[in-house]
Amino acid sequence: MKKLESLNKNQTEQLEITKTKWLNKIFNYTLYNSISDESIITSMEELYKFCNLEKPKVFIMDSPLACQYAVNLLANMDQVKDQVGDQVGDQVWNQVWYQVKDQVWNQVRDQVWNQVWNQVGDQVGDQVEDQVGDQVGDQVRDQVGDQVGNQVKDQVWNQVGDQVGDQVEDQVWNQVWNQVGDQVWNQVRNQVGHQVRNQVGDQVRDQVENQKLNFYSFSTYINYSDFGWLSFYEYFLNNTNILKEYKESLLTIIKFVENSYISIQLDNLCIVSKYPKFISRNENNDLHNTKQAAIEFKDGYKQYYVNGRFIEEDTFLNSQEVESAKIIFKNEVNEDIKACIITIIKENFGNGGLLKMLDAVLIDEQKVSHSNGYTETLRLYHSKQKYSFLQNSKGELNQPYAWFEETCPSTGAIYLLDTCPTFTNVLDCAKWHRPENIPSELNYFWLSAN
Amino acid sequence: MNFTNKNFHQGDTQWFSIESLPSNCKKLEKQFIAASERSGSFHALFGNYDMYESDNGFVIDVKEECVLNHSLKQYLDQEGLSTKKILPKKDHRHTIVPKGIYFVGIQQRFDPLENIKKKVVD
Repeated sequence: MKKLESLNKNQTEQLEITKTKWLNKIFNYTLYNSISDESIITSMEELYKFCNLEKPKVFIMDSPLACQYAVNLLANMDQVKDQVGDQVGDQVWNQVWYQVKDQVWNQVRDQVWNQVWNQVGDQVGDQVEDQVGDQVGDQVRDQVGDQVGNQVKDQVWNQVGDQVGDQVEDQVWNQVWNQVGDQVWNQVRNQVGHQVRNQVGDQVRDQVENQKLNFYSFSTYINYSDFGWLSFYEYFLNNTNILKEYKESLLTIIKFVENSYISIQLDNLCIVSKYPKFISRNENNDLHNTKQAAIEFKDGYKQYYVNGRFIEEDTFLNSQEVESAKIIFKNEVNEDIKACIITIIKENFGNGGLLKMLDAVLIDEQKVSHSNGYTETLRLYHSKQKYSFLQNSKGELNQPYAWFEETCPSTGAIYLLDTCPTFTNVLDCAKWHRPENIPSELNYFWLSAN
Repeated sequence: MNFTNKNFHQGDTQWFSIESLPSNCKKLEKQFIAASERSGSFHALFGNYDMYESDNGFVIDVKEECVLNHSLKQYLDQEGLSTKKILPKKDHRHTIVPKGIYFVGIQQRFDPLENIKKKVVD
């Protein structure tokens, strides 16, 4: 068969459609809204079969943190089982489980301390209990076994990844590979990318370890980090003939991923997190929200981010009012977090709020007369302190915050623009904010202003 | 460009009268001076004029008196920007722009946190 040299009009149009479809799965909550518990259980059982692993007990949790709590709970239960001994039969074990569940659960809970536990922890206990149900015999006793992530990875690649990769490589020229790669694979991977993939997992790990619980590694395959490469091959499957013979296996992998936002894959046990119910990002696709958590799960577990930087809940919530933000800003030693607080105040309260929080002082004020009796008063403010993370127009750090104030004659709105802190004369500052081509010698003068 | 100090602004679009068309400037289709995708608002000139490409903005040759509107896309009609008209204002009042040649650009912004934002992206 002749190698595919270029994409036709329809195939080109499908690039954007494929990309959007995959992004919608997570960012428009298509999967969160459509995937049922039954579907997750069936899919994970199929995944283990696909990987030649024994049928697992599947636990479905609402968040990655809940997965960690659940596996810790089950691990503690395992310890109890060891104490009870293998001599007891299923009936006795069932009785033991129900009797000790609360006790075990309390032991786990006592090891943790922050409010995240209150949000998520109690629900986890109930969910685990519900899902253990009547099957608390042999299955549950041996649940927390070895990680099987590597076996999953090997099977995914041996049975599907390598084959579809080789097939596409054989059947399309580099330029087509690169075009689809750039417009589908890279776009999907980058948007789901570093932020949603790595940051969220890292924070879960920190929280679990801070609570002196064991962190169990999340799956490296069969989760949202597979979106990039799967979107790429699904594009070729749906828009060319070159992956026809791999249709079933590729769609099977896609189904597995759609059913698992992330999971802990253990021998005989698979603990799966549902997809998040809310994600908020900035224009760079970094997690970002200055009014609420940037990512939130069904059980209420959430993480706060400002322009991609994680911020603790206490700090975030205290930054929702100027006065409380002022106190934590003064006490905060981390400059990155200080920058987050500034961003929150600026986005929620404008530069007016920022002026107040940073104790701004008036540097210069001038009344300028324009045409037809129109006058305006310009003001220049600086913060009292300098901050290591603020820069001037030359990129030099350790500067004060600086603002240029002007009033819109149409609306009467006062605008506070961020400005370069090197100015001490507000008229020079106003001229500098004109478009780049305008020479500084040209008077700051308006015939009309609306 | 030789500026004549007949300047005006509408919001953050700033207009500066110049003596003549710069040489070799490339003519453009009429378009918005600035637009916000989020709010659907725009600054645009309506009437008889030619628009040219320029560094950091546009050069506009106003053939006869035109109207600069700050309005919303929902008020645009089929005649587009070719007919002089006053549209319902979004925030800023309309401006009557006399015949002449102008450089128009957007008020420059400065971001003192640019450095730290880049650090996250990197």
